[in-house]
Amino acid sequence: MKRFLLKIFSYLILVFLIGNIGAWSALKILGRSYFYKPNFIVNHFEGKGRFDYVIAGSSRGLTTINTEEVDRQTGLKGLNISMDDTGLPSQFLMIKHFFESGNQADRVILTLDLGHFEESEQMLNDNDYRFVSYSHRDYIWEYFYTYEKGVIRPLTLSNYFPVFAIGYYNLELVWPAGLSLVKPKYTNRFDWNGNYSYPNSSLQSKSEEIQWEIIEKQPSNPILKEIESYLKQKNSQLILYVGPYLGKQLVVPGGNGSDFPLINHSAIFTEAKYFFDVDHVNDLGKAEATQKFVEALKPFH
Amino acid sequence: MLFNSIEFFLFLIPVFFLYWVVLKNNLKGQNWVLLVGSYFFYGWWDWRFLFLILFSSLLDFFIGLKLRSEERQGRRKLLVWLSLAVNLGFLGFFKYFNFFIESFTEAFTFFGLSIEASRLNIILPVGISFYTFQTLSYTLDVYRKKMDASKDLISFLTFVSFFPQLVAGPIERATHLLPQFYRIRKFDYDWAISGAKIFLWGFFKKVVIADNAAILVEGIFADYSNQSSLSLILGSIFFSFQIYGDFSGYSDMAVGLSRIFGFDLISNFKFPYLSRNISEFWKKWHISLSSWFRDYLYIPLGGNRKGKARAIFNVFMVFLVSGFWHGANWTFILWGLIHGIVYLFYFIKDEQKDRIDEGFTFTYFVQVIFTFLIVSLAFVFFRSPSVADSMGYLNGILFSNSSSAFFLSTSRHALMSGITLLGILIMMTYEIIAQSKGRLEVNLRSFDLLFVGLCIVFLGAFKNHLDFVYFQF
Repeated sequence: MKRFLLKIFSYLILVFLIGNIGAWSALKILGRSYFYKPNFIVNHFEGKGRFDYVIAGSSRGLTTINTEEVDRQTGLKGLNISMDDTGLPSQFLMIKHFFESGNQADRVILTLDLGHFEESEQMLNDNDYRFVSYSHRDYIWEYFYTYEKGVIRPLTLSNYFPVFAIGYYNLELVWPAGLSLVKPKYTNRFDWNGNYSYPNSSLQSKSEEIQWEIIEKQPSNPILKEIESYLKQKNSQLILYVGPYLGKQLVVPGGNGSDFPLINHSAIFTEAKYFFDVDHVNDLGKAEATQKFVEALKPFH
Repeated sequence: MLFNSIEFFLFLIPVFFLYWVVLKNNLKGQNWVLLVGSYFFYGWWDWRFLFLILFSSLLDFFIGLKLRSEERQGRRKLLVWLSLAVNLGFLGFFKYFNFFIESFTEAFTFFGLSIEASRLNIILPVGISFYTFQTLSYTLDVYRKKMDASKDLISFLTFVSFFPQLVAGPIERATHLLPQFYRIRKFDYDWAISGAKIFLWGFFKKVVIADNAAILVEGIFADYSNQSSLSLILGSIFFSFQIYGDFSGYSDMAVGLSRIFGFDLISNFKFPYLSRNISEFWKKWHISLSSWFRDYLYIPLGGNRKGKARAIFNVFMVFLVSGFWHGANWTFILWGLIHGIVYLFYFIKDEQKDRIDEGFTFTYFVQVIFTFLIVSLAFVFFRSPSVADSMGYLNGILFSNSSSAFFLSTSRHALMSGITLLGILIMMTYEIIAQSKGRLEVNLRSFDLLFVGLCIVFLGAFKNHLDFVYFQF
């Protein structure tokens, strides 16, 4: 039986070693590419990015504001660092990643989703693996360590044994690494300003059919305070932005008397023609929302 | 607890050490470890169903003992009917009750009458069809005096609940598996290594082929009315490989695990997609079920001893019941009937006998592809939620005007399709090589073990892994 166990272990170790070498190579290639936004932020700007503002957030932050248009109208220089399928904890991670990679921004405009106004779930988000090339950095490893659950934690372990992360997220990491080897400047679903648009289709609902819900919320999520405090150290200002929803109007009790400056555009559109779905605008909505955002940004210049 | 889960490996390690280290050469102790381990394994899904399997096992154990001492034929028949009634009664209640209620009310509606009948909210116990057939084979074989009734309760309970094959087979015969629990088991290095190899191969088929294909198959079947013909054809082909990777993968893992514990299970699959006709396919696909039906249904019905017409009827019955065994839905029955009809074509032509191997000729490949296409089209019924959906799907294959293709709808799906096709290519290459060398299972040498291991790591769908399809049966 010892011989059997020895043989099994020797093969396991061999697969583990070769797998780790392959995984390490894949992560190295990705870490030097533009493929995912965390890679782009590191490699495109090489620690020298200087911006007047950056837009952080989830898919709503990614698709609502056209930073290129904002820059053209205001003369400011902006970048969209939002990433789809993320919650506030991973948006904070992205903000940290932006600054810790040597970049600077005077303002961080955080596109806050209604679901994260008061609290956020303590769990990984679907796209957090995109940071894995940098899991050796303290703030990323601590994030994985804090939020990843389960018996085997592939992202947390990736700092020591990248094969776990590559094995678990092989579809998301191995093939992009292969593509990045051939095209290192390929960006996955965002342009060089960090923007992305959903396909240009419209919801078909008629205005009178839309049921409007008034939602009263204070931005009291403790993570917001942490972000603000972090940004202060980086000489940057936090501004909250609520993008348009179809059928939801945010009301902050006491006006904008919260601790954070807030641009509330939750109910600027009453027609479905501006929307790709109830949470995301289409091209028309994006153009209009950007215009209104430019106006709202003026007091902060 | 899935074989491809961390929980299972955490369960397996202490069971292995208790079995081979602590209780080495202690037959009773080893059987106890397997019994407790098997009940723990099964209870992991739902502990309440442990009572069901225990009751079923105890009933058959005591009926077996009674059959052993009872010589009066009438009494013996009564005992075997009691076992059949209780076991098939449980199976019927848990698996088919709602189906019969619905079919009954629909039949009345068809004739313009309306009756009220409530569905019951029944959870199907995992693997009930498998262990019911396994324990029934015991009672029937004791009744037929093909084997002695077991006097060893622990061995018998372990035989019914043996964790490697409890929830999805192979359906073992008592004559083959039960005596293995009576014999001292010594660790055999070569046997255990062959088990580890076949386990790895099953793992590959499950996580690389079945679990990657599953996402694509689900997307195509759920939106079949908007898919192009090519997408629908690919959907049915992917499903054929999904179910093969899933089911034969599980069987291989079961066989492999059993070997590691010193047991020998029957091979459930012998490269079925290299079959030249449906008759050959059924000699290579789910062998333990087909042979069960042959021995306990086809032959008792008269087999081919009562003339051709009766034999045709018997074959038809076997396929009908086989379809119904898979699930309480007309789609499964139709799937069985389609296979039955095609099988009968060869049966009538008397081509069901094994042919002399002609090697890999052009004709061979044409026949293999033709057989595979029939199997894939029949699987449309197996996979669809209703007969209407199956017909809609097949209609779409022929007449769809859509150009939409789910498998290319996003870069992720295109990538998954590529991985699935790559996995299929690897698997079929190994199978063709094995078949050409007359082997019954693939042979993995050192390089192959590393290659397959790395394929699992880099191509396996761990993030989206799913339950085994056959658990629902």
